Amino acid sequence: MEITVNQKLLVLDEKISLERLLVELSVSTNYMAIEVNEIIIPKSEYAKYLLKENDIVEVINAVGGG
Amino acid sequence: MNKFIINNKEYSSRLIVGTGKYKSFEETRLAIEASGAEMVTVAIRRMNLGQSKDSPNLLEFIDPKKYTILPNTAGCYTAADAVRTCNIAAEILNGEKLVKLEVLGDEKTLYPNTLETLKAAEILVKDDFKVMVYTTDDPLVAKELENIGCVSVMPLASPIGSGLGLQNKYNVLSIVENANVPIIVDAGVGTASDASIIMELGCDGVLMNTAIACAKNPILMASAMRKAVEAGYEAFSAGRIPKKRYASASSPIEDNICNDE
Repeated sequence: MEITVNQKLLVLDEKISLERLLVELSVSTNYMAIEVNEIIIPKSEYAKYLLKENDIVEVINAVGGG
Repeated sequence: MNKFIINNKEYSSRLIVGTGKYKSFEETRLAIEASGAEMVTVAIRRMNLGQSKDSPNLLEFIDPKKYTILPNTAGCYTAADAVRTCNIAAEILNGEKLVKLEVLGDEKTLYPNTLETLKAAEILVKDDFKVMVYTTDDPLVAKELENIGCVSVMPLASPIGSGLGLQNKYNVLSIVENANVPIIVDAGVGTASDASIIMELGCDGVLMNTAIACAKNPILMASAMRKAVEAGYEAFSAGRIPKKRYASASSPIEDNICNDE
């Protein structure tokens, strides 16, 4: 199964949850947000949210800006 | 002197600073401390997934419990993109809905796109966002943004990052005189006197980033800006003397031993 995470293609052997994806990517859930196909997924749903083929995932945070 | 209240919170500093263009998070933190600012802007971007779990997030350096974090919509050119960014910002900040709306029209000038800004402001206000809005120095547009329900209107002094200072003082004065929400001049400050001139007009605050972050010594410039904003606001509150064309002696005319008639 293929998904896109922050514009990079990722090949997965099995269906995984958002929570598992974040563990794989070593991403902390503090002060961040996730969109899947341009829809924000609340943090409370990460554990049960299963990624599908061709999902476009954006992992977003705050950076320096004016 | 008036209190400086944004979204029902009172601030003692009238200087709002950005967090972009610094050499490191540590320099960002030190400059913010020196500026005395209590509200700081951040941008919303894709996470750099190459970084390890231990590498710091900006908001671990700039503690949201200590500072009001004002996420911006920098880089958005349509109302739809700006609204999307604000929704993501609220998710990142655990439901906080104070945002800095900026919808740009042109890469060269980074001038606001007024039509898209008005459209985005309407959508965001309806969705209960507390909108601080970057705009041109057009007094009619500023009033319209206030009427839509923005909590602060933020006209530019001159283009973002230009350092040209306040270019249209009488427009900004008209905006201030007609406003019932805080007017914060956002963008264009180059040095301390620019900030003082803005505050002497009666503006409620100043927002800046480049002038501090790109100074040779950002921490010293942050301190200068803190004093400039305070000095300008105190001078405005004190009430300046009227300008006159000719001199008016400061010392008594009478009893001058050198000039007895």
